[in-house]
Amino acid sequence: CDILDKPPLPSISPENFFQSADDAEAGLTAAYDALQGTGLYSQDLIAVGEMPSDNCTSNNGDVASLDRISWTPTTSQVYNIWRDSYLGINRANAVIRYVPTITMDEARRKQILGEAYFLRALHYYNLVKLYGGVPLRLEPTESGEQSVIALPRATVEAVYTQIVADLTAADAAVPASNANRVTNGAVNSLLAKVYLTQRQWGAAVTAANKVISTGRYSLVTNFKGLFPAENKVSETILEVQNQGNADGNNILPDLLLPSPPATYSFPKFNIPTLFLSKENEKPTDLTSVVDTVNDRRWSRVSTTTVRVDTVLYVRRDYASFVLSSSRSRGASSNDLGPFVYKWPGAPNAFNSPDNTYILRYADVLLMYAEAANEQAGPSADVLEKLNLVRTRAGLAALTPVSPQYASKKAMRDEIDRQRRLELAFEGERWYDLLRYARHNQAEAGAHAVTALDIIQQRLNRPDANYLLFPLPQAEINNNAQLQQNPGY
Amino acid sequence: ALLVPTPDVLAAPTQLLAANYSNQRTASRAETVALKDLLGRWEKEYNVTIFYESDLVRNKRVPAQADGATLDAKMAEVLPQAALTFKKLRADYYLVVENSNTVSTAKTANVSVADVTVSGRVTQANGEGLPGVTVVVKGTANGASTDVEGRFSLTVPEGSTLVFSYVGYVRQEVPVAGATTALNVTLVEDTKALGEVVVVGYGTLARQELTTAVSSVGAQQIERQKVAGFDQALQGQAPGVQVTAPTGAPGAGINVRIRGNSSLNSSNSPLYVIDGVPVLPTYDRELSVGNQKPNPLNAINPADIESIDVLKDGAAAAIYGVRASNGVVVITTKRGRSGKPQVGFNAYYGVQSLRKKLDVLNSRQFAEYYNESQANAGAAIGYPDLNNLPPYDTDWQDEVYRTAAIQNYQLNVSGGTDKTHYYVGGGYFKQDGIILNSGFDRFNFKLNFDQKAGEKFRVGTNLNLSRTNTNGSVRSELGLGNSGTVLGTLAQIPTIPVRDANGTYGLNPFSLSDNPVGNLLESSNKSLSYQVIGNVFGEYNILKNLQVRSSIGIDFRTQLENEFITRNYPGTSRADASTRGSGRTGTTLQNIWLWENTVTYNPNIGDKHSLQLLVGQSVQASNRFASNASVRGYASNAVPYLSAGTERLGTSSYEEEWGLTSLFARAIYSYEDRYLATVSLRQDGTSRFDEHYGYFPAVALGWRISKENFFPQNSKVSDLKLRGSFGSNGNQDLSYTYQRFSSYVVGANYTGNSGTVQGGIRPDRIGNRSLKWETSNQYDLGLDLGMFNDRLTLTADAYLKRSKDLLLSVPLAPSTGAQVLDIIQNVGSVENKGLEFALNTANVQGQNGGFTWSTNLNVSLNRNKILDLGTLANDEGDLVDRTIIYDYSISQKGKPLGSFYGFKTQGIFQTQDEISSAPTQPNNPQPGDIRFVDVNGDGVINNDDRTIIGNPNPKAIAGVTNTFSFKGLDLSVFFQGSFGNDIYNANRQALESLTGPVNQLTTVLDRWTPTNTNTSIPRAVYNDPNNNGRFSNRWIEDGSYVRLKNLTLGYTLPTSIINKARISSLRVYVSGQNLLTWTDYSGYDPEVSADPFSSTGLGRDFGVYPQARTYTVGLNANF
Repeated sequence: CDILDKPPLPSISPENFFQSADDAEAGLTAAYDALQGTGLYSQDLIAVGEMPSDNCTSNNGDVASLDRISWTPTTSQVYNIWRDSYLGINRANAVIRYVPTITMDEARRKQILGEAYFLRALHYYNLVKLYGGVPLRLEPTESGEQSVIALPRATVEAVYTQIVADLTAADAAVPASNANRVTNGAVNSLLAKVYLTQRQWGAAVTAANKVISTGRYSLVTNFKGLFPAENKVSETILEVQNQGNADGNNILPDLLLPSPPATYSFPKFNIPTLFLSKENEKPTDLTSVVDTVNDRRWSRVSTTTVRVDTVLYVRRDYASFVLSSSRSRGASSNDLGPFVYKWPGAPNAFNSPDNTYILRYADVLLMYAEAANEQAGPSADVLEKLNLVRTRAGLAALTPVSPQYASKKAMRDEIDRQRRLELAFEGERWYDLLRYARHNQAEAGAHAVTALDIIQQRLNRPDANYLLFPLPQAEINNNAQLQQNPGY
Repeated sequence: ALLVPTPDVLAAPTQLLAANYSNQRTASRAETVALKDLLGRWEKEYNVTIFYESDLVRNKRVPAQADGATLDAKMAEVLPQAALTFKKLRADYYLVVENSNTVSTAKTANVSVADVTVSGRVTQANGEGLPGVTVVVKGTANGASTDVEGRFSLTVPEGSTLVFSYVGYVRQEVPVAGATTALNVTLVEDTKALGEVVVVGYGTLARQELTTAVSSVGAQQIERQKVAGFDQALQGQAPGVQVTAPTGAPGAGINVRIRGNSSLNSSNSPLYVIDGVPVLPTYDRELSVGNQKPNPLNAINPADIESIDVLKDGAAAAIYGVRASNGVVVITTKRGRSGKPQVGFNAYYGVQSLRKKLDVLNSRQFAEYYNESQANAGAAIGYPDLNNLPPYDTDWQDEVYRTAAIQNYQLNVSGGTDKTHYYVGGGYFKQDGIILNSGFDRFNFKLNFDQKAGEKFRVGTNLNLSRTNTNGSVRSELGLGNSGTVLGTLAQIPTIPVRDANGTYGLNPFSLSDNPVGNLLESSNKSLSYQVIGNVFGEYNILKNLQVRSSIGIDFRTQLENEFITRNYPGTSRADASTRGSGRTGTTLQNIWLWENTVTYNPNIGDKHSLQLLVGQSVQASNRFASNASVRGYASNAVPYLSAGTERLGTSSYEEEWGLTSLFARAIYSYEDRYLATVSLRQDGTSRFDEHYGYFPAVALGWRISKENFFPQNSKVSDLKLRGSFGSNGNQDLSYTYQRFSSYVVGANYTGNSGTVQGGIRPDRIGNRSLKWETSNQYDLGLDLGMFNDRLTLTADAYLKRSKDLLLSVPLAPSTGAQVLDIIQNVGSVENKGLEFALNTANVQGQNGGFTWSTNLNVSLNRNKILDLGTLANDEGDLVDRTIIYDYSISQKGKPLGSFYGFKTQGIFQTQDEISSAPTQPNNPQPGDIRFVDVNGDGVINNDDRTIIGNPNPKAIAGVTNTFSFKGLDLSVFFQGSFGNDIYNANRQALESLTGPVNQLTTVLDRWTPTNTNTSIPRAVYNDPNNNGRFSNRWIEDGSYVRLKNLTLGYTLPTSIINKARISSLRVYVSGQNLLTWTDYSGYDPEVSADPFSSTGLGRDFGVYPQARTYTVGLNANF
């Protein structure tokens, strides 16, 4: 009866959405938009990638609990990353569920689905490496049934199987060139990362090589030119596109840089350890690995002029330092110390338009080198990829005869070091350390530093439970199907 | 013709036992005839219904009298001869009852006395002539009835006694001393009798036949109070009905709760049925400021209301199905009476003022306090030289509050013939607010009309049109920092002027807070509504006892809201000049139509049985469209419209629809008037849930013990009835009609491959397609007792109401991927149980204008308890009962809704040693700070130490009205009260916080200092590091009160004076509202709620517009 059939007039709903090609595009756009969540590439995913690691430290709030490895189920990043990842998964799921039902251009449909598969895989990869096995949700959530809203955890293996399946599907559907969006390069770069995490060296080499062999990508000559990331196409594989307004903000600059000169002041949390007092230091701070003379990625400043072609630090005691008209050191003790300049940002609080790299070519080269070294030891192939990164940074190329890199172990350490230096503060370090620690369980002492070493140092005990985040309390309270990770 | 007003809900005239009519035959005067046959013949002849209890009439014979001009006269002549009399309950509805005072039929005194002629006039208390009053010589059938002006003339034996009786009025006996032309009698309304016909939804029922819990409130009780709406006038008049004016803001919504709150997330408002049109008031605003909303029920002028019947128990309400679980309030408006046109004019004018001021610090006291609080925090003091303070000592309360007028004018014309009845009324009501720039006004027009077309067909209409204007410029329920008016007035500091010498509004130099006077003078927020509520109907009598009725109803509302804030608004004076000045506009258009068809059938199934059947069908559908827009940046104040603003801020529009299709049936049965039973069933089909159809059954039984043979006939107990009922009701009223649907929203934008931003649409809320209505099952046990010939009546009810499948907002696990991490589910249950008593007594019944005193008392006790809120996993993963903690209250199994949840205090720390040995309070407390109780004993004071610290639900509510009359004077005194409820005085939380540059109550003069340690007020310290001001039992106060709500003294001018002015009656009166209040509550008023319609945020006083005290003078004139 008409009287009783009242569809929701003012709202878009599964009943009236995903009817046209435009709807498919809007759904996919929303799936990309999820990457800008506070819990993901605008803040927390990067913060977690750095703060627990040996790269930085903090005394501030929840960030300090990351630094001190004292996170709990109610720590905000533990919650935000989980929530925002699932938001992204749900959006990708909506595309995957409904776009096949739309009458539209077949090629475009295929590509949209491929991009959604990639995004879903990316979120699950972020989740599985932080939380372990997570609920595997493959359909948009649209019902209040308990069987829908409370899913149990899948095994780690099942999650990885799904990730590889999604990436495989994506690889067949996305184009090689697709500005600002997912390409085969992005798919295979992520695949390489996934295989690397799983210690499947051969598969990782194959995947990374698929990216390298296209010849589409190259390192930009000037390292500083990489930042801020603004679609530097030769090295960019995938970036989060920020606008500096409601359509996408990057919060990181406001957390990493000194206060803007106006009244607004926010305590920064992401402070490199270089010059911090001993009590805050972590096992190996950056000073011990930086060639501060030659490495263009890093510049230690001791005079009144600043080399702004570098991207990292200035001295904390440097009084009249001015980076730009809008960023200068303030009087607050929070403004002391070296800081990162990979996101120069804009002074409008929390509204930076700077893009964030999800994947870039240097990362792929180093992943290739790492996997190939693990597979077959130091080889010309390994050295070639590593040297591309080294020489761009102003460091000398290593040669096959360099005796100190002749062993697999020595080469591994050098690759670790270059990953740390090249990708510092781009949200990779802690995940690398976690990966090394998980290696470590099988291959003790394989890496100079692992996440376990940091946990040992911070907690005074070798607690492997902290290799995984706890599940957020809000999830535990409202999903009786879940078991908390051990130790929490 | 003698006709009594007929409530329009005539769909099902109720019969006790319809008189049979036998073969009609002509009888000579000398003959006798079976009374039963005679009554049957009259029924047919006059097309009326005459009811009687069969054993009253059985076998009685009377002379076949036919002389009377009217049926009333005939009955008045005939019935006394059978020791009976009658009551005329409606124009076409007579009730035959025992005449206990009849001595014997036509007994003539042995002593022969001379006949004399007496004449005079019968009036009501207000002086209006009372037509149709039966005047009989006691002990005889000799009598007459009064004409339209209340006049009568009779020839009677000298020394006899005249009996004046009229339905709805207390009978009076007046001895005849001799011939006179000035035998003037004033009849007093019999409140008991007024309620004798009860509107039960799709029909009426005689009260003695009632098996459910229904409270009736008559026109006089409603009109007595000088308020905007009938809902407010219901306060204290009916047991089980808790009416709170949550605010004193003119025109604002009134909170009516029948038998407690039963829902957490759905509406707890009763369903209003206005002349047969169900109205669920939506207090929506597009441009909200604070929490108070315009009240759509104010569309009805209380003066047009004939009666209000409140269907309280589940069985009474069940006929309204899925919307009935909060009870049903049935409004019946006035109709015309047959006879000469009656013109009535009523007017009153009054003044309102703030009931009491709160004492706040003066300039010097404030400066001292502020300096001390700064110094204690190690900050720079605000007033370095106390002897050289700013030259101001502003009393902001004096600047913001005013004496305001309230006025009301109403004119109505009513009348009719035996075929046509009409009532036309128009009124204007205007209530200025006691705060600057606030008020409410209403124009309304009322037309009730019906026309008989032939013998069997009747058409008519009930129509109410209104235009209401609510000035909502006062920003209530907000603090000083948010430009709140009421709290801002108390908290703004006295050392600044309202305006300085340049005319600039004074601003607080220490903080960004507004000037409450300037805010009011420089802003305007008005809401204008046009409403139409009414129906047209047709009725057809297929047979005498089989009637069909069809009606088409409408509930239409259009609301236009406009706000303009000038460039000079102090709140934005610090803003960039280009953004000053703002305008907002909002529109709502709502149309709800209704088509209803009913059939009533009263089959004749023998003398001992009475049966009344009803079946019906109803379709209702609603459409509501709303939009709003806002701009800012006005270059000038000249044009307050959106077009003159420079910056578009936001626009929005939406539309929503719902529909309801219903089938219902009811049978009311009685056996020998002793055993009574009602069963009903409603099927509602609702658009709001995928499972459309719900069934709502009810059964009610009654036993009139006083009708049993074993019951002593000469007992002082004149009536005794036991009732019991069960009914099932629904509640489907979620705030958002489409809550069950999943939704997507725009705004998830992202840069596309061209580099430009593309619009993205994302999933937002997860719907729940398996939702259904909340169900309340209610049991009621009642007792109706009448004593001393019903001079004392007592109605008592006990009820148990359990509401289950609550539409509860339940948090979702974030792994659902929902943007909005909660979902509505049918979870949990709430119980309300209680006792209600209503006692009416006619204490003194004076004769012929002598002293008369009657009392109406009602008391209700309700206990509310959450039975279940479902479960959730605790930190260990075990399932535990869910509790929901709000800002200051908690929902927890076993506890009442709205229980206050906060810290407990334990005095003030006096020494550092005391602090060191106490459980750890973070933030380094100092002597003079408050010590909080470590409730969980873990040695640390944190959020886990919060506990239940108060209950905002009253233990009892009561109302008592005493009415007195003597000669032309009448006096009514109405007390009303609430007992055992707590109030969270959040005003005091700001005004005794001692933390910053806001003014404080004078109680802080007793604040802790090293030399004043014996106090409960902590030290003054800027920013309150110890958080002394956190929500604790310090802010909980006993909210019990007793209030002289209304006192009215009237005088009806003697006819001899007013007749010269061609006025048939004239009454003048003075009246006071909220005259006296006895309470320990320290705030403005104990009748308060900052969240007026929330069931989980009851009893908080935060910046609420205070109630006024009102004195009025008025007159009622009839022409």
